[in-house]
Amino acid sequence: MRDGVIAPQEGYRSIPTYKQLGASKWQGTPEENNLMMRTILRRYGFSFIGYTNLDDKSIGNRRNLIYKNVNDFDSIDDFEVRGKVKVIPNKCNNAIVVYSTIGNAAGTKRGRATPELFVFMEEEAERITRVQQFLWGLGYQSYYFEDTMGGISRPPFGIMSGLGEYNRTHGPAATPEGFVGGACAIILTDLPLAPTKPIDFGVLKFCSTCGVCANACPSGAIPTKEEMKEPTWERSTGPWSSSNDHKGYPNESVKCATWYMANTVSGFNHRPIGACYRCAAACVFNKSNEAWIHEIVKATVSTTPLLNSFFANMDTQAGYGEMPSDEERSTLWTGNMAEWGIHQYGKNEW
Amino acid sequence: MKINLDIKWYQWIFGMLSSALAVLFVHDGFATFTEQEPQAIGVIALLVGGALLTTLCLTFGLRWSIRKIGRNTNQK
Repeated sequence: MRDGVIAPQEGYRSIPTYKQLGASKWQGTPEENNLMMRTILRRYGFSFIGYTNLDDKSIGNRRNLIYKNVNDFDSIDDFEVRGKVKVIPNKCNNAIVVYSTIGNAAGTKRGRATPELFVFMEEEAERITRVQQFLWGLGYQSYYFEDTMGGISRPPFGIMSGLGEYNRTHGPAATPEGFVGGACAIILTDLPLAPTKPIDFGVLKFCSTCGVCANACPSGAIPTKEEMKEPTWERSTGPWSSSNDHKGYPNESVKCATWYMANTVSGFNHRPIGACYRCAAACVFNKSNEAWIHEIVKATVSTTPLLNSFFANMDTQAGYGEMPSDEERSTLWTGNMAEWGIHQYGKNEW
Repeated sequence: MKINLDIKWYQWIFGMLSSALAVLFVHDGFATFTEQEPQAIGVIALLVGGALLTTLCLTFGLRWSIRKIGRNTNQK
């Protein structure tokens, strides 16, 4: 069983419900619920929001993406704890998938290997508990799977819900808004929701001639473009890797995690402080939205692959994938940090 | 007041294109600092600035070249 660092996976459930207030249960259509949840999630600071259904078997069994040694499902009314496993009711089959860019240092140049990501994780968990309280008040259950925590394979949810597109980097989906940092946070709920569709804006095609993330990876966990141009079905690389049941780039998770554990500061919590995310930070699609040139490049890439290789080379020449110097990194402690810290959109400091 | 401007159709096209590129160049130049990626200004100068110079040449240089060719042809 794995609860969050802030709250139980099912939320606090501490506010009065509709029954206690003498009101009737909210019974909106899935489409109405989508809009309602978008409003509440945006109010609590979540940037990109998508929805998907666990029982959609069009590309395989999605419930397998949730690890059985942490969470399982059963036909029950409310959750049960069975040994070390928290069992979630089958009816909670709608997934709310969110990316939060506010305070999220993952994927930003200065965010690499700093404690910033750890701070963000706790803040995001706090905000999710408020969303869970909202759902509880309406009469619906919810179960939170934290951004970057174990227990669930998160990147597929970002792809299936249409928040972003699969790419060569070691996990995160690339969003058209220019955010490749971090995995997504997921809330399973019994509130009826209309699934949002996966998207294709030319990222995977771009990856076949790019490989910037592989060059940035210090552990060699990502195949370079010389090693592998197109995605393959043969992607199993041994223990703790993806299986051969879906096409992709054969990333070596063990190499990634070994480097990460050995090179980040061990924290007081149950995980290391800081993160690598060099792959996401170096990705050509991971950009702030200040310069118009990024939008021009994305618009071109989504319509024609002709200039893909040229754009990848120009990105490297522009130095977007370079690691920050020690001097740059030290400005974290001396600069006038923006409110809510480092984030993808807006300035890192004022 | 009468302003005698002799501007050909292709000068309007390249002139407007030049203006757009100039705005893009200036905006993105400042944007690189906002994004804290000032090292990228070199590539932006190469790509957008290069295109801007080309369109400026086409706006003003093309007319001058056509006139020069015309004069040379008349002299012969």
